[in-house]
Amino acid sequence: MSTLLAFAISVSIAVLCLGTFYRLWRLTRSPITRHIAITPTPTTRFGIFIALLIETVVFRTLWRASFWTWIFSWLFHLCLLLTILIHARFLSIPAPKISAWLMPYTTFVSWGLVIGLLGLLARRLLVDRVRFVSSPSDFLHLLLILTIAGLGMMLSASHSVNVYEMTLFVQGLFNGAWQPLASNFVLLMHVLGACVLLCLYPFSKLFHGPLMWFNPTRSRPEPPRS
Amino acid sequence: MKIKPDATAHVQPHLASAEQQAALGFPTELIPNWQEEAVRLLGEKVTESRALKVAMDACMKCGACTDKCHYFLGTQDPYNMPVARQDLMRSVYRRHYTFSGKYLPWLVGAKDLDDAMLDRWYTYFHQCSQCRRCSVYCPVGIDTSEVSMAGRDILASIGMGQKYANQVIGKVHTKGNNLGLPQPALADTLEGLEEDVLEDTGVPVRFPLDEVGADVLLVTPSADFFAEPHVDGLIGYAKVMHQAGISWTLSSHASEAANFGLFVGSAQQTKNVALRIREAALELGVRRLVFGECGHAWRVAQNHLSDLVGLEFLDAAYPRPQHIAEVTHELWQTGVITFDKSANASRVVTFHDSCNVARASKLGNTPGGQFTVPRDLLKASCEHYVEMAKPTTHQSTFCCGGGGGLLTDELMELRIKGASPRMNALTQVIESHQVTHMVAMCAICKSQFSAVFPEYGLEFDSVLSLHQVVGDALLMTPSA
Repeated sequence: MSTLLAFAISVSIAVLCLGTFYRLWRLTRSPITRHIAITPTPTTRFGIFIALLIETVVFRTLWRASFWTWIFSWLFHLCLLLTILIHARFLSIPAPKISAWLMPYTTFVSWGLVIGLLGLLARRLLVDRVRFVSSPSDFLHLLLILTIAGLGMMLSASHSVNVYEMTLFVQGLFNGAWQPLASNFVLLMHVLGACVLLCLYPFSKLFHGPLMWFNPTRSRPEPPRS
Repeated sequence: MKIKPDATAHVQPHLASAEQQAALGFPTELIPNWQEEAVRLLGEKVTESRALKVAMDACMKCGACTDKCHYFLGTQDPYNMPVARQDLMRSVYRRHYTFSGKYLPWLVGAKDLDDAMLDRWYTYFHQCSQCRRCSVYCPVGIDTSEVSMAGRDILASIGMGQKYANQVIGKVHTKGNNLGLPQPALADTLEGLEEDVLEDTGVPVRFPLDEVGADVLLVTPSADFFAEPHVDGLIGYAKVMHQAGISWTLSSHASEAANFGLFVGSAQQTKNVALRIREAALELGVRRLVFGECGHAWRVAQNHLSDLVGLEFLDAAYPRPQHIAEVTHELWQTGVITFDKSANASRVVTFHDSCNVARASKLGNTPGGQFTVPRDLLKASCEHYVEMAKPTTHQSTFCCGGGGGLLTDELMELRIKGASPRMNALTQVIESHQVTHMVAMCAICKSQFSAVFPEYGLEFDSVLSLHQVVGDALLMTPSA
């Protein structure tokens, strides 16, 4: 199992990094033919940066557009970020400060993640406008992340993962000295699910965050007018 | 808001005739290999435009835009939800240009461009007024107008151009304006206006045409020469120019500000139409360009004109095209012109922000000038000014329902339904504040409202030009 996991993790992180790099590189090559900013926009590049940063952190546009979508998606994204930070505990012993600080809230964060996802799923199923534009892949993205989260919560609740062993395993991935890991089916599924997600990220709609930064309607200051 | 599938599936603009297609260099009928050619053009367009590339890739189907389009709110047709309109193109793009779409089309909603899809493209890319209200609410800022413009250009390129837009572009080139008014008719109209204004005000306000050596070339939508309420706006511009002592002229060669090249999504057509303005400016030797009340003309003038045709001939003090509203606003601020509000005492006015001014351009030098400049002018020239509900104004303004090349009779059902969000907001202020008139500064908005107001129980002449209201209140110095 450790070999399979080590292989899957290595490959998926490579796909994530190379895929993201490739997509961003292609985007910078994609020409902006006309000035199509949605006005009023900031007039300086710094202003644009701040506006996009606010958008990235608090999803201001979505707040204006649809409160329920905003609350569920913001909750989901925030908890996803916290979850990733909590997982940084497997990088070192003792755990990195940020992880150590967040670890007591793991259950809250997990439930936040799941509630966010269920809210988005419910909206996709119950609002006929959103259902009309949903493809199977839109549901599968949500179900995949839900599955990973559910398995992760099982692992966390059952304390079936030896943190010391897991940390050595993760460190081994980086040193090229792969360490063995005790057999654990739930862990296997949890990590493989996450690997699939990492591979999907650069090549699916999940890449919407970086794309926003490249959108000419948002990313270009208004031309000076004096 | 619930969806009603196919509610406006039957509303389509007329196809361009063989002559109208040929005049613009497009195929005269649907070409035999249309499917292959459309897919090829789609790939080319996505490669050539980052906006389109982002539109094809970034949508996460969150649904934020689904209840923001005036055509969806008015018709409930699900393909009028911006995301679904984009999906018509996105599904074909995915089918041909993505791995998942090629091998797992059912999974990612990829579809072939078959006869039914072609019909949907023609129908629903012509039920978008390219007003970009949806983009304001899209978390990643996808611009649906880029999608419908690209879609229309592809359609025209395989032989399915739209009659109204093609006809208008044809007339611009043969006659100089969208309405096809020839030079003698124009000269006659302007002479008549000089007599009317002299009679009304006692001031000899001139309406110069083709005057070589004037400082300013005024380029205005041809509706301003033709019908109310537009022509009253033209009178307003002339009064302002007269009172400020600005030397100006109109041009019969460029007697049209509008640029339908934008609506049909063709960079080449946009450039061809815009070139007349450069030619006229050089011919008349003007040093300033001022645009009349036309929304998309201002978008093109401000954002694209310099790149499209070059404006190096403009005076260093006025290096960019100006909008008549910002010219008037500056004259008012600097005290060159003054207003007497009592002239508009009987009017209770509200203001309709036009999409292309509100969301695609700016006015004056302060951020958000596109909102404050016309409002400042209205408040300075009217005693009673009322604002409509906030989610329907400023950046969130609703389209009039007739923009983007849809101002044609066969689309009247769509135009009436699409106007409903604006009409609801207007009806509210009519009931709460006894508003008598709605002011707009776009020829398409004004024509559209004149046509649909009666459908909502209002007088057709309850819509006014900004410069009619301004001109009525302008204090004129009697000539010596």
